[in-house]
Amino acid sequence: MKTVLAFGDSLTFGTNAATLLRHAYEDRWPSALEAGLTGRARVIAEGLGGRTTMFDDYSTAADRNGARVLPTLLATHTPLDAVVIMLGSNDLKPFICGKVSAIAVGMRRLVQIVQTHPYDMGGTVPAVIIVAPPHCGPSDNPDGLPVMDRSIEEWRKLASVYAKVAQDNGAYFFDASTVATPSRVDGVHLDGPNTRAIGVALVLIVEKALGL
Amino acid sequence: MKTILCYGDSITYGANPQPGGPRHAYEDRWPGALEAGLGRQVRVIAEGLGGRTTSSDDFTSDADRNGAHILPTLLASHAPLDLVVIMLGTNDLKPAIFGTALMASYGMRRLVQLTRGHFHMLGEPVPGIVIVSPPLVIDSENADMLGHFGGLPHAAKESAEFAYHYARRAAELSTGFFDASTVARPDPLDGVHLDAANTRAIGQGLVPVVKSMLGL
Repeated sequence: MKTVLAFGDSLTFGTNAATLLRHAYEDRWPSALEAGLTGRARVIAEGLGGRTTMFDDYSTAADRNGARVLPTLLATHTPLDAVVIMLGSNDLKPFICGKVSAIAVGMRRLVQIVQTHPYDMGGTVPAVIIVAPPHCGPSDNPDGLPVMDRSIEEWRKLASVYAKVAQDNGAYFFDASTVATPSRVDGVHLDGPNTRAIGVALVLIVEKALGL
Repeated sequence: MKTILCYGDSITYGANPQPGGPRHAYEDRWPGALEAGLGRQVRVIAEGLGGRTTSSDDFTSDADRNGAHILPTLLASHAPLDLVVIMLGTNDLKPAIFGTALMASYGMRRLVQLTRGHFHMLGEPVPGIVIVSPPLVIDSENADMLGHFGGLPHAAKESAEFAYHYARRAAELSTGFFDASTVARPDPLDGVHLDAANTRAIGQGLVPVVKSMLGL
């Protein structure tokens, strides 16, 4: 049995924009991916609301800096065969970073961490799959469109920049905006069907990364 | 479906007492055995990190071993939770960390406070908590491993006091309590880690405690 780690933010956690609760287990994309891999792999979900690639954000009690927490999670879940990373949405908040050029450096750092971690207990370096999160879009949220003043224009550049990081660092790449569109409730988070769609679409590329 | 978070160290991870040996199989790790023992009515999430302490830094690893530092991140990642089972303290016995079971019990108290405070702050339901007193440290020919924990006399004496101090903390804090040393003994190969059967026994031993706390 193979093991896959899904490392992400609220889109991986499964935040439901309409209810502000969590999507049902079956609707979260790591669960949909596991279902699609039909018993050949276990998918461990580590999705934290507000997580960034490599930036601090002390507005919550959780540690949102992905680069700081990733080694701990790799050591907790090794041996791993693949790590799927979908981050960047929170880096696009202007007060965090806001520029894809810097976010690409954060994603590259995460790939480096996965590729150089001193794996214990027979673990080896897992394959990495970089996922560009679905583009933010227009919303009916009266507090600002899209949430936290993120730039839709900047967000749209993320996929091509991540594709290059993947190519330069021996990682796989998938653009989730090809299969998922955010809910109009807040312009960033996904409804149940759009969340599941990411997991379903990832099945083929994860199969390839795992040699299945 | 209810959800349980199992928060622990290498014993929760499922470390092999054979140096260089592979991680115990999923089914043999105690969170896996607990999930199986609950008849799959409950989802069990395992967060076991080798070397994790209750509340102290240990920068000999690139992982963050400070259990109090990383717990809020994991609570936020796995919420909503119905129960949190915490088995930590063995690494606190290292002389470079706290060195005593009493101090480890104060670290456990901090983890209970953190868990309750986290959900109170967010206005979300507060999960039940089970404090688990870890297995004893026993004699072994693996001198490096025992040395790591301050030598056999120190580690054996302090680990024998876990249950006494942890039971008092559990009573003060109104949490559930389970003494894993009543069902599991380390492998003499290294004196600290457990073979597969003893690892499973912790999960099986927890089944009635967890059932009663979850009202199953």
